[in-house]
Amino acid sequence: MTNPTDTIIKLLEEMLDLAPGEVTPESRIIQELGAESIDLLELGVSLSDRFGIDIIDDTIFLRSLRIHIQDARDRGIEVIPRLREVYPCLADERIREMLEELADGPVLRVQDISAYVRHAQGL
Amino acid sequence: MNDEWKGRRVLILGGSCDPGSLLAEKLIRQGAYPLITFRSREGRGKIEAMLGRNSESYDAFRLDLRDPDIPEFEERIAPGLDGLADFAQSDYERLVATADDREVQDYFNANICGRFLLIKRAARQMLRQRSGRMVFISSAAAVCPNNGQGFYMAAKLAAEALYKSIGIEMAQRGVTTLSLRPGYVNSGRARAFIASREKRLRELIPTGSPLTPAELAEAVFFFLSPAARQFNATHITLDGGFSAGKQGLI
Repeated sequence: MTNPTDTIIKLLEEMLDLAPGEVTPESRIIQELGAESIDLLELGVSLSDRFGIDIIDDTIFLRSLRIHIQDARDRGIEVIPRLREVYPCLADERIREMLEELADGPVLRVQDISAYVRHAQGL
Repeated sequence: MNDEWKGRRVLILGGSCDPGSLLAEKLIRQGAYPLITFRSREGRGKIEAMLGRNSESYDAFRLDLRDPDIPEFEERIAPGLDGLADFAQSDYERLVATADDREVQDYFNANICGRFLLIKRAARQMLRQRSGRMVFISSAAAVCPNNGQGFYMAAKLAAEALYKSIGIEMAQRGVTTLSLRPGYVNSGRARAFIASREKRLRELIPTGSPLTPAELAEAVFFFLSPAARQFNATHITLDGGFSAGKQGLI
């Protein structure tokens, strides 16, 4: 079975015209690699075709992350359980890491997308 | 026939109208494969009368903007989609201050939200191919309406905005768009109106006559072609010069 991480890296290298090795599982796709909305749209369409899964753009690309965090705070509920609900593919450890990284800008990493694909495949 | 159109798949939304069917016929003659949508049995009948029944040269299927989210749609465009000509539109003529709340909601749901669902799927399919051309058939009424056309105008302008945005967002990925604003077209719903005002329209339209369905079909055919790709994320008026000047008003 194709490793999603390798596929995602290859797609990003092609889309963003990057050399092999420039994209790693830890790469921050927007913050470091400079991906824009149209790149993510294309990535989502490609992943849907490659893996035969439904892609919900908002979830896989963490588009509404800040909105969910704010929503949890507004409602007086714990943020981590709320994010676990919205992003069932992400481990708590990763969610905690994201909350710490938020101040630096968009947190989306290659590994987050890979986690979504695996989760969608039932792995 | 040149090879430029050979095998190209073009979706014609609302293709049972006269210009839509004529466009389909032209595309078939050029070797392209039109996918034509219709809303009613009457619409299907018109397509078959023009193009022949059970033909292998086109695909026709029922699609209504009021309920466009059909799995069949994505299946039909999945083999490939090179062009989209959007003639789909329903009518709602009421003075704004007299319109029914529910009817207006339904009208906008169909003509804006329903259309969006189709455009989104078509755009994503074209993105897969990194190429595609979309032509939206808007209306000169989008900027110059008669009384009662406010909702029609709003729906057309909203759709133009969506198509324009796709042209801006996706041109780098090979997908370009254009909105056409035809004036009076001597076809369908407008035929009786035009017949009753023929002399007056001859005075008001510098070219001397409303568009024929064939003229509109030819224009759409050209604007769908690769030669027209630089007409992107914009609109063009086809009304014989009707809206250009003060002719006939004094």
